[in-house]
Amino acid sequence: MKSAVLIIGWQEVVLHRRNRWVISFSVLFAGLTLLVAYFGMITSGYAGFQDFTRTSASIINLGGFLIPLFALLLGVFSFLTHREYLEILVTQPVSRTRVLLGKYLGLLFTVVGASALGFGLPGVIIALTIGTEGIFSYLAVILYSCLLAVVFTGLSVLISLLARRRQVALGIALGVWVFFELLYGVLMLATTLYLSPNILKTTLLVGLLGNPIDISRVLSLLQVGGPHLFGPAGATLMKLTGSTTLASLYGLAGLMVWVVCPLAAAIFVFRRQDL
Amino acid sequence: MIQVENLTKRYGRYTAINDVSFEVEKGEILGLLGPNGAGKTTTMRVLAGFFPASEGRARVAGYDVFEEPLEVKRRVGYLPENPPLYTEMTVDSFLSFVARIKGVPRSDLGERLEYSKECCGLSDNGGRLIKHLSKGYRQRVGLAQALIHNPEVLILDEPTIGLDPNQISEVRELIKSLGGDHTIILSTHILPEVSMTCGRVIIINEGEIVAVDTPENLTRQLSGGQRIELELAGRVDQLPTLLGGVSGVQTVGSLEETNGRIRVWVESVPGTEIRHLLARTLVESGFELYQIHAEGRTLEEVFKELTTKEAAA
Repeated sequence: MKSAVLIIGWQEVVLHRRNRWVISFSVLFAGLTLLVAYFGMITSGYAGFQDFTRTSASIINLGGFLIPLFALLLGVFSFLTHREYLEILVTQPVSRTRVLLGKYLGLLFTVVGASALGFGLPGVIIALTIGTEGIFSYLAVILYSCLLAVVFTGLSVLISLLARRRQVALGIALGVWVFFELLYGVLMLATTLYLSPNILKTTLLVGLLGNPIDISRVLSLLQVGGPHLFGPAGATLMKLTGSTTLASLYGLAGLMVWVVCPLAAAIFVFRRQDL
Repeated sequence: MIQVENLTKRYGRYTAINDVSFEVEKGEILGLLGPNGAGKTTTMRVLAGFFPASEGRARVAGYDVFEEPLEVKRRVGYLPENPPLYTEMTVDSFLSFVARIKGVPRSDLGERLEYSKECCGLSDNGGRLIKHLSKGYRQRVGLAQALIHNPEVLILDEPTIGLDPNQISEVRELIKSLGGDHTIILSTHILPEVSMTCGRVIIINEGEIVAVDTPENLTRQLSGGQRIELELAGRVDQLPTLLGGVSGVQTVGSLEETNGRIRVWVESVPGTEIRHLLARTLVESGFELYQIHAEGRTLEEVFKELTTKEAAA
């Protein structure tokens, strides 16, 4: 028998296949990536596609900004607009853990697929236009952005299960997004102002792990190779680890924690929840 | 086939069902009857493995609902009150999806699909999108998904709600035809549905069972005897003594005399038939008997009385 997780997961993908939000996001994302790639050096008086290395540096923030928002919103809509589907799934001979994993995987495939498409189509156009130089940097940025999508998909599932009502969940999801995009940096900055230099580095490193968007951004920048773009946390990470590889492993480990913890918490909640 | 012992379910401080116990035999059709909010859906959801109970035990087909939920779910087909269906799918693709989740072997899939569609009158609708189906047909799809893995037990929550009279009749016939091969629990607040489809009925009110029996017995035992109305002519002064002396008469009501006709009612001892005794006694005593009419209480009246009493208490 085919795994119930895969059957449920594929069903989710089929449901989202024609979802207007998913299609709109992919088109918007691809369009913005193309714009950034084409007009990224307009201030230097140059208009036209840049190579992959420059494009990668330009689109890191775009991915870090849009992908978490997309994952959070799609996750909440998926879980709470069709919450009644859970009723039929949980009365099937499938454990709740498998039901949740199936829905999560389906959602994940959709979010990651839409994000990869949003990055991938412009990538093909750039490659056909000016060649493939620096393409590995671009692929690395896509990879870390997709990991970011994985993290925020897990968070969206957890938020949906805890909030139960769509409006509440949307409010929380937007709050989480604003927190990680805007407030977290401000809070970290304010905190570091009052710290003594001997614990500053430790705080910066721990602080970096507290924000998956920052981790993804630093990991991408490590691949693109722009230490001057790191910011204090990234620079400290490089200084402490001494190599891009070690720094990347540290960041990846941090992201993995962010992947696993929300999902584990969601499974814990769902197994005990009265629907 | 189903044993429920002291089942209690609480949502926070609210107790939805309290200390509910009952059994269902193999092949039986049991009706859960009660007003809205009585605890019918909660009971069914616990048995279907939708959520656990706060206290108590339940076994289905020999498996504990809480300790072996997957074994129970393999043997249960559940139709929720508003069957959640993937409306963007066709009937065939939805039923195939459910069948695969339920673990129907690929080799049996086609046969099970055709059987459940045929049972539910969906044979000509396999290719239609569910969102284009009427409420009645969606209910049939819900029933078909409950049947697709040929479960031993069917749990049907308000299976005829929202259907038109013809559809109601068809679904009731379908449920009756499924009894015997399947053990069925259905909930309803429509009394005729219980009388027409169920071998036994549990009346549930405010989370507690207030009566369990066959619809006929329930009516008979709880009706407090038959009320018989009489219209006759003769000497009024002799009548109360004469009627009170008939074997099986429990109460003689007040007399009304209009234009030489007397109207009176008597109530019999529960479970006794006294109309023929009354007729013979009255005629032999010189009364002219114009009408004798028994008014048994319906299940509806019994239900109303039981649930109102509970509410008042």
